[in-house]
Parts: sequence; C-alpha cells; structure tokens
Amino acid sequence: MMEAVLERQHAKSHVSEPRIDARERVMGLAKYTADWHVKDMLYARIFTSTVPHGIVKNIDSSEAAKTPGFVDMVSCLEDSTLWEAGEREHVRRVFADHVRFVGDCIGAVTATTRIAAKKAASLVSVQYEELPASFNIDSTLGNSNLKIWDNGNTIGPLKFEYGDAEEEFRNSQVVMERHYSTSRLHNVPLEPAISLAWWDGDNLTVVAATQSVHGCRNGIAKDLGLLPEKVRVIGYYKGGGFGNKINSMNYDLIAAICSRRTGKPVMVEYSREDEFINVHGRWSTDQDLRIAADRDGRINAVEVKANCDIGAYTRHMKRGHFIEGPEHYYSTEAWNAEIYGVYTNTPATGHMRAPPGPQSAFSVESLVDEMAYELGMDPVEMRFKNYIRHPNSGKFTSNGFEECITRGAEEFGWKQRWKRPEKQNTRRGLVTGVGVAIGSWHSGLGHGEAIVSIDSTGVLEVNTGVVDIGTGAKTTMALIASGEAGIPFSDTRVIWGDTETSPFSVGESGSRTTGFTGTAVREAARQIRSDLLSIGEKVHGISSSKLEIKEGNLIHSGNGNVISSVRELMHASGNGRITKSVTTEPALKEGEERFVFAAHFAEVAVDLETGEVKLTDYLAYHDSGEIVNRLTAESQVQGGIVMGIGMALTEKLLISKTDGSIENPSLLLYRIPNMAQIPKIKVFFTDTIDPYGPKSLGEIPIIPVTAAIGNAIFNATGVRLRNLPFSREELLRELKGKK
Amino acid sequence: MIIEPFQYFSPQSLDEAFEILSEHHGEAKIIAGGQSLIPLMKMGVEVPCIVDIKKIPGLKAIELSKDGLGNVSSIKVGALVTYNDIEGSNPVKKNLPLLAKTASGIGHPLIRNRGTIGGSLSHCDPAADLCATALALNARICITGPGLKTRSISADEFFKGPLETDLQDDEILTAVEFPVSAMKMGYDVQKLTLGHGDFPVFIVSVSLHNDGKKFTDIAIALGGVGETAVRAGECESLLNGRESITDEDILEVSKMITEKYDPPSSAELSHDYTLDMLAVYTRKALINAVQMVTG
Repeated sequence: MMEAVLERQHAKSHVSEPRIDARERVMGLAKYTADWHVKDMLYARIFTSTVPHGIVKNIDSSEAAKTPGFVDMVSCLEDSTLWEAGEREHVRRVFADHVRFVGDCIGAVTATTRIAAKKAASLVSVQYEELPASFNIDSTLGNSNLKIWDNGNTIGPLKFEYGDAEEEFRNSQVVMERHYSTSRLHNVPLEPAISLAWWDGDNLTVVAATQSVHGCRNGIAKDLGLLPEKVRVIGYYKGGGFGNKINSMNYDLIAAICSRRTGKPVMVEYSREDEFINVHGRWSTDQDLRIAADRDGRINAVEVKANCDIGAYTRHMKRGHFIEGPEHYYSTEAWNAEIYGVYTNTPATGHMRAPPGPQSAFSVESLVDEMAYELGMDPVEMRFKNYIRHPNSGKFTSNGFEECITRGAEEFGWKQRWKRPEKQNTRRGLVTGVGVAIGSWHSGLGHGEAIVSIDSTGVLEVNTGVVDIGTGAKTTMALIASGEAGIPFSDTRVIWGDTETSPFSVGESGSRTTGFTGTAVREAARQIRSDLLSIGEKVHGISSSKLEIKEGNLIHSGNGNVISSVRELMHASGNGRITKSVTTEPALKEGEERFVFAAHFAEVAVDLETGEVKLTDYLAYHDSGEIVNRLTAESQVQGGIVMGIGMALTEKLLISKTDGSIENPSLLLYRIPNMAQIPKIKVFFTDTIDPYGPKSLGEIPIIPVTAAIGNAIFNATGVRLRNLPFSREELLRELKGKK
Repeated sequence: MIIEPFQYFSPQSLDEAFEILSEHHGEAKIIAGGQSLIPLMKMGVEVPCIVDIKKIPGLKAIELSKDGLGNVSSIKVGALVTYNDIEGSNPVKKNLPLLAKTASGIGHPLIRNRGTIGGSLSHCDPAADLCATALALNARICITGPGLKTRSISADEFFKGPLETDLQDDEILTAVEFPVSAMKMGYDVQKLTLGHGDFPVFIVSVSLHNDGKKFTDIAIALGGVGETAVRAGECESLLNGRESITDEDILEVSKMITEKYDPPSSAELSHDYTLDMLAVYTRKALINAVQMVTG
C-alpha cells in the first residue's frame, strides 16, 4: 500500500489536459443521438394526460390518423409494458392507464416526419374518469379520499439516529428551531431526452442519450423481457443529464415499442417542454430543524423532520433517503432525522446531482450559521470547531476537511472580509457580505472493468464502457492509463460508449466513474507497463527492475538514458498487440468510511432598495483526493456551483395550484443562471492522498452553495432567508420590517 | 419547432416587397431579425407567409442631418439596424446616448446581434425597451407604402395598442428619426426584469435637457404599465422649467407615477413589489439623469 501511495504522489503532477473530444464537440463533428439518420426512420411523439389524476376510459385516434404521414399509434389500452426503474416503491407503466399527473404519458404516435408526429399526437383525444388529486404536501397529508397509490400516499418515515438527542436538547445551553423550504427543480440538460431504436429479428439496438450504456441495456432488457445480450446500446456523445438520463428511461422503451410495432427504426425526441414535464427533476422539501449547542460553540445535537414533495413517481434509489448528508459534516453527540416522501399529482422526481445533498445542506448549514452568530462566533471558527474528524465508529480512509476550511478561509481572505453585521443605517445603495458553508458526500468503491492494449506502433488503447455525459470521463480514463503505462497522452486512444464493444461500466452517476472504472483502467495499464518492462529485459538483456517506461520510452533507471522508444521495443519484440482485460472489485476494510469534503465561500452585494442579490465572488476548496485532470475537475466544480447558484437565486418549477401542471416548462420562464450572474469561481484542491485512489467529485460541488450564498446575504443585511430560491421580494420585505 | 407550414419570400427591393404584400394581403408578416416573430411562431401562432426584408438595400444606414451651423440636428436609423449596431455607432453614442444605452441593455448578445429597431417598434410590445426610449426621444417613424409613397408619424401616434401599430398591412417601417439637441443632456434607462437579459416587466426611460438655467424637455417614458409605452406627461410638467430638481421633487414624481400607472404582477413578483419597484426605478433613473447635468 505504501508503495502505491508514493507512486501516486509522484504521478500527481497537476496534469491539466483539455478534453480529448473538445474539437469534435466544438466543431459540430460529434454525433449526438439527434444527429443519427437511419434509413426509413420514423418519428414518435408522446401524448399525455390532460387531467392530474384519473383512469383512461377511451382514446380516439381517428383525427390523428388523418394527419398526412401518420403511421401508428400505441397507447395504454394495448401496451402494458412496465418501466421498472420509473418508480421505486410501486409499479409504473410506460403508458399509464391510471394517470397521476398532467403530462403522464398515455401513448405515442409514430409518423414519417417530426412535424407530422407532433401534429398527430396533438389530435389524439382521451376520455378519463377523474379522481381526487393533490398538488402539494399539505393537501396529500390532509386528504383521506386521496389515493395516488393504493397502499398509501407517503414513503417513510426514514429514520436516522444516533446518540440521545432528547437528552442533548435538554442539557445544551442554546437551542434553536427553524423552518426551511426548498423548491422543485429541473436538471435542464442542454440536450433534451431522445432515443432511437431499431430491431433486427429479436435483436434490439438503441442509440440512447443515457448516462450508462450498460445500465440502459440491462433496464431495457428486463422491461421488454429480453436477454441483455440481445440488446445493444450505443451512446457516444451526450448533452448532459445530471441524473435525469440515468440507466433506462421510458423514452428508450417507447422507441423500442414503436419500432417493434412499425418494423422501422423509430426516434423519440422530446421538446424542451416535454423534457421539463416528462423527465424527472429534484423534489422539494419542507424541513423543521432543531439544533442544540453550548456557549463555547460545540454543537451537541441536530434534529431534522421533513416532508418532501416527490411528485407522482420517484426514481430515487434508496427508500426514503430524501434528506441525507449533513450527518457527515459534524461530530455531534446525537442526530435524529425523520423524513417522509409525500406523493402529489405533479410530475416525477428523481436523481439530480447529489439527489438529497443540497436540500439537506441548505437547512443544516443555514442553521449552524445562525447558531454561530447567536453565540457571537465567527462562522468559520464554528465550522472548524465542529467539523467531522472521524465517523461515529471506525475511521475515514482520508480526511482533508480541515485543509478545506482553513486554507479556503485563507485563500478567500475571510479574516479581512468577514465582519459582524451592524445595524443598517442606510436605506439605499449596495451592501456586501460574505458567507461560508461546508459539506461532505460519499465516495464509494466498486466494480470496475477495463480493457487496455498497446499495439505494435506503441499506441495505447483504453476501452471502457463510460459514456462521457459531460464529465470528461473519456479524457480521465485516457490520462489514468497513459500516466500508469508511461505512454504519452497524445498516443492514447479511447474506445467507449457501446455495449457491443466495451466492457461494463457503472457509467456517469453517483460520482463513481473515476473511482470504479478508473481503478480497473489503472490496473490494466499497470499490467501493460509490467509487460513492456519484461519485453525490455528480454530484448535488451537488462533486468526489468532497472527499467522504466516514461513518455513512451524505455529508460534505464540507473542513468536515465533512453534505451529505445516503446514503438521500437514493440517492433523488436516481434509481438503483436498486448491486451489486458481487467476486472477490479476494491472494497473498504472493516470500519473504514470514504468521503469527500468541501468548504465554500461566497460574497454577495445586495441592493437595499430592490432586494436584488448579486453574487460577486466565490471560492471553493475541495478534498477529492488525487485529482486526475485539474482542468476538467475545476470545470466540474464550477458547473456544480453554477447549478447551486441557480438553486439559490433563480430556479423554481412553478406548480399550478389548480391542476399540478408545470407553469414554466421553458427556458424563458424557468431561469437557469446566465454568465452575467456568475462571478469568477476560484477552485482549489487539497493535497489529500487516499489509499484507494482518486475520490468522488461530480456531486459534492452543488452541496454547500445555497447556504454559502444565504449566509452571505445574512452577513450583508442581517436578514435570514429560509426559503429557496431566495426571493428579492421576501428580502426587501424583511429589510423594511427591520427598520 | 414550427409545425405549421409557411411561405417565405426574400424580396430584393421595396417595390418587390410591396408586390408580395399586396398578393398576400393580410396574411403576410414582415420579418427582419426574427427575434419576436420566430418565438411567436414556435409558440404556435400561425403565420402563412413571411416577407424577409433583410436583402432590401438602403434600410441599414444610420444617417445624420445637420443644421445651418453644421450641428447634428437629427439622426435617422434604418429599420434593419440591429441593437448591436446602435450600441456600437459613434454618432448615436455621441448624440443619442440614451438610445445607445437602451440598445445595449436589450436581452443577450445573440439577441442584440439580430434584433432590429424596425422590428422592435413595429412589433410594439408594450414593455419593449426601444418603444419606451423612442417615446422619450420624440422619435418619428418613417413609413413607406405601395408606389413608394412615404409618410412619417410620431412614435406616440404610431403605437396603438399591445402588438398593434398604425402600420398598414401593405406598409413597411423603413426608418426611425430622432431629433438631436445641442443642449446639455441627462438621461437614464432602468428596468425591472425577472432575470438578467429577460424581457422587461416594466421599463423607465428618462431624458432631459438643461440650458444652463433650467431643466427643459423632461421626458419620462414608461413601458409595461399599460396598453402601449406611454409618456408620463403630468409628472414631466411637474419638473419642466425648474431651475433645480431636488431629491424630494424626484420622490414626489416617483410617488405620483405609482398612483397613475400600474405595473403587472406575476407568479414570481407580487403587485405590491412591482409597484414599489416602479417608484424605485423611476427615482433611480431621474436621479441619474439629473446628476448628469448638475453633477
């Protein structure tokens, strides 16, 4: 183990490489699913429920069928395929006969053109028997006639506890109790949902915009009753997903079903509006928190009670884990959480970048901040005093939390910039303030597969099942292989994104690609290097222990002289391609926990007359262990923070009070932050070395953002905002109330 | 996606354009930058026929007229001049800085690259940035009809209602003419939007002159508070002719504005807030304008 650590430390040379496919993407050469044109391809368009809750009684397609170009219609009346991944606790059909929200998919029309499909779909008429419906948490909990699901309208409680919270609340010197709410959000990938499918006999090929080609294949096979090897999923280029293109999606199944019925390749393409309504986003939360602390700043206990609006369906993986994470920020004596998922007749919820992370961090990190001010403490000191050193039992594999907090504060200039809020004397102009928030997130280990080979010309080829949803995974895999094998990055090629040619990968979800698949790539590349050294020994008669491979050359480690290039070596050996196929299954030792950590610092300027908040500075300090590619890692952190800025300041799905439909299903009305609202985001990484290699990174950047901004708003104005997104109107009202 | 089919024409001259317009009387819409028409069509508004005027020569110029003393007396901005062109034009920046500032604040760079002054004014959205500023600057709208017959009309008379102007089905807006004054001037434009780059909820465009003794030509134009952009005439007369304008005067005018005009509310911003903001933005605009000539 020690040797491995030292070796990695050596490899940590602050590599910063642009994505290997940057050129294709920028020049429009990258072939996204929408760019595929297959002979005789048809287009399908879904038609959906216009009522929030009901049973489909009749479907009239006579008008739709008159549309020039109409080919076929399929609906819940003749197709009862289940979409297993679409709902964890219950059964969800691809085409719902029991519709549960305005927009629930009832069927699809297939036509010769996109326009004909859209037109025909709009002409399908559906009759329903309507049922009582609920559009928010309170009405679900208060309505005994409501049956969104037969066995109850809630999931939970999820209980998470340790220590004796009641005892701590009784004995602590200061107790605070606050309410928080967060809004329903949407992932808003640039590329809306899309899938293209065709059959060759009983073999199905799907060109999918998925985050995992293998997960997609396995899901489709299961739902359509096929053997996985009968399904091929191709996914070369993606326009983002952030969790809403995870594994198999209903539109993949719809494309396959429509293609089977018509005997032609079928593309299902969602509009931006469809994407907002028919693909899941983040659930909202209603949270009551209590915190107990002593006057010296020691946090003793936290209690969280929450209800979460999870829509009509939820894809979230683990039962009830709708608020999760902050129990790993602090070393408290006790923690007590009781969480319910509450169904409503509104669109589905599910994975979105750290699914429960930012909702949970928002409330806890706002409350800890409030406690710091209550106790007269510097908020950074408060975090430093309480941040988690060790898990409740056992130990962390590595922990760079302290460095994140202290070095982050230093780089930000916290000591010089933070001041205790003073009473506002002015009523006009701008006031500024700074805020801090911290967070942690899991960093699992698991199954990885990779095939790495070197050919007779010395070109290294890395074959993995990653899809590169936008994370730079292809580049990361190539860098790991090139660094480990000693072959220049420029001589490294990647094969990816096709179940037919690439070994299994978990794909890009759960911050796992680098840790899971990357570990297999590293091992396969290590074996390649080891083989090259053996060949070197054979060809040049020098013991392999005295040889090294560096930058594509065989080197004498004694004098550093280049003996030959790898290309010449491969040629001299007479060997053809060397291939290493590797499966890795790393696992934590008993009592070990593996986490990533971050501290974020924000500065805002608030207009006292309008309540408008401008984010003027942002700094993030992260421990994600060894960083494989600094450039893409920084981008990933910045991307997560931008999503967090949206959650804090601009984004909210507006749910209709009368039918639960989404009132702002467009980029005009659902506002993601634009460049003018984003300051330069400075990103730093700790020098932490984790014995298991690079730790996770994709999700944690979004976690502390909303609280860091909210805490800065408080520092600027003395007003605590506890509802997301922060509203300038609420801020102004509070500011006026204070005077 | 635009699902209804439409005909597309790209005339090379005004004459040809008028021929097409008369052939498709009442069915044709003129397109320039397409920043309003295309989104409407994507939303499902049916337009059977589009006449693209971008290839017609002579509609892209910014022309200066001078008085006997050689001073610029007016500037004529061609219908096809984009927001970006306005923002970057030196004569506009020098003589009509309010127009330049307004144009530079419209939407995003992509919109400013394509959107045109003629398109914006003939689309006549009550809250459009340029409609308010055209009123504040006493613009005249130059219109050409069949037989190349021309007429001009004040912006005030041109705006008839929401998305409704004095432009007839067979006419084309060809240019917008702005008078230029040699007097010391103050100006500002302030708007409330839901997000950066979004269409205004309302907009306040202010222009005033000072001859060294008193304030004259006070113009306070408001967009988004009624059927069309409007001039707050009574508020203007409160300030016109004054030797000085104090913070208290401005507060009074801002208050008066909120008594006379009603901004819209939305799911995100309540009426209380937008009304409050109408006073705040009016005050900000007036203070900045007054400070320019006094400060």
